[in-house]
Amino acid sequence: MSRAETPPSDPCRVAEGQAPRSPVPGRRDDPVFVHACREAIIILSFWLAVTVYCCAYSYFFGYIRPGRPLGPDDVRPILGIPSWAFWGFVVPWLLCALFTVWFAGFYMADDDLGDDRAGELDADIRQGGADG
Amino acid sequence: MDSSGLSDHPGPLLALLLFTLVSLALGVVANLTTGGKVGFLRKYFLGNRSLGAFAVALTAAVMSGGTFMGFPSLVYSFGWVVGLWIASYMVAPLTVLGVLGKRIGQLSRRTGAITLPDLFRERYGSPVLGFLTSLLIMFFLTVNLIPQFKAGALIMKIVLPANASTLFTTAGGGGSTDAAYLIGLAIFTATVVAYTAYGGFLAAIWTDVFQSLVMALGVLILFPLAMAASGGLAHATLTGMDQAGPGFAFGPGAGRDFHPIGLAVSFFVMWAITGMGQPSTMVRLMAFRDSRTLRYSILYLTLYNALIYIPLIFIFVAARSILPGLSESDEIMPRLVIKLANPHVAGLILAAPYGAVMSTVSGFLLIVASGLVRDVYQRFLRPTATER
Repeated sequence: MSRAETPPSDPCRVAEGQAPRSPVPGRRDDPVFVHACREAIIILSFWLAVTVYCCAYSYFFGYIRPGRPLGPDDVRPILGIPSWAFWGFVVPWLLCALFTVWFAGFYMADDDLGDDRAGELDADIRQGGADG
Repeated sequence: MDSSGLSDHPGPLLALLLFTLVSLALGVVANLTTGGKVGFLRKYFLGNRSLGAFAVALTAAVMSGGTFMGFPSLVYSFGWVVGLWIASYMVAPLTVLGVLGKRIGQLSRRTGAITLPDLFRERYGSPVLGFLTSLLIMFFLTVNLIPQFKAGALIMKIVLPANASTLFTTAGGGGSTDAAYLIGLAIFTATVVAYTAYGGFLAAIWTDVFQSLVMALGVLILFPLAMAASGGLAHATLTGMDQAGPGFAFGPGAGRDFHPIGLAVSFFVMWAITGMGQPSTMVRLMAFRDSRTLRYSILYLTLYNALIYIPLIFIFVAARSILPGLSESDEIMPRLVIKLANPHVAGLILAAPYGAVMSTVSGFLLIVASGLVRDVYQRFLRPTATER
């Protein structure tokens, strides 16, 4: 017996009218799948924004480039931290922690992940061995 | 590494031995908890899917020997740009645990999977995929284990009394082998294999939690000591620029182009996105108790990363003015600890990298063992074997 659900071609969508081929909820009807997709989209969008901001800010304000030499006068420390590092990854790190507090603490849904069927799988493996 | 200053005092060795004993004790307690024949494999390899938020967060922290040995060396050598190198850890808990966590948790319950190959095989209905997953995981994790064993042996070596290696060499008739290293390797291997094999997943998890707390404590002790000794971060930064050039305060880094911007973008992908496929993290996603646990583990891990990595950057920038011109930058962590802390506290702080290595090894060992037991022995050789 296989408990696997049939994977559609698009990981986040089932084609209109397509019935699931296994006795598990269809993906659109599965709140865990719907919530997981929505949360994944938000997380990946946030990751992209953080990546773009941190790398772009650091490059334009904290990187020595041809025609843009930097020296001790350009450090401009804030709390002892070079200005570009302070705004480029220290402050974003703290803001990111705040976002995570909101997202994980208040936004993410609590879903029922279902019953553990490890016993059934184990029985299947034993049965297969006994039959074989 | 020159061990002078460490092997002269028993403090660090005592701290590591105490640390080792606590880890072994946790293994024994975990074994008692795992007892019973019903569902033994699920308990042994997955802790009965009962991990709480604190355990998931601290054991998914992906700390390793590199966190406390390699990373400090990079900060000391190349300066502030190493902060950008590790900066994606600010968002990694969200991506690594949040993107796939719920679905892996759901599918592992629905399919009954207790190992990653189980999950792939049942989810996609493909025994071949399951077998390939098993082979790939066992091969790459085994290769990954080698440097971890080496790091553990090196740390033990530098805290062993100098005469221990002399005795060993004499008893063995001399030779060119590094006796202290071999003793360190033997002690490290015996400890980590013993508590992992005896206590299973729960032992690895509990020792991970214990070790992560020791790591955090070590960093929090070292941070004020380093700030006070360095004369402040701004002073340390200017000192670093004097020693290593302007790149110490700016990108792409001192001495050479350590972190060009293209590489910086790559590392935001590597830590935060490819980390989702890290086997030891995926196993934890099969083992958490419920989705509420997952939410809180993301939150705790984000705070833990901020608490560990931001201070580590500050500490090892400051190290430039405390220990200027160190030729072997890999030694900066133990040397700074010896310089700043009394020997007993030094032992506690040195237990941090040792614990990081131990937790990495125990996690990897368990995944390799589960692959051999479940995916090779039970699936192919003796499906009807009893669970114990």
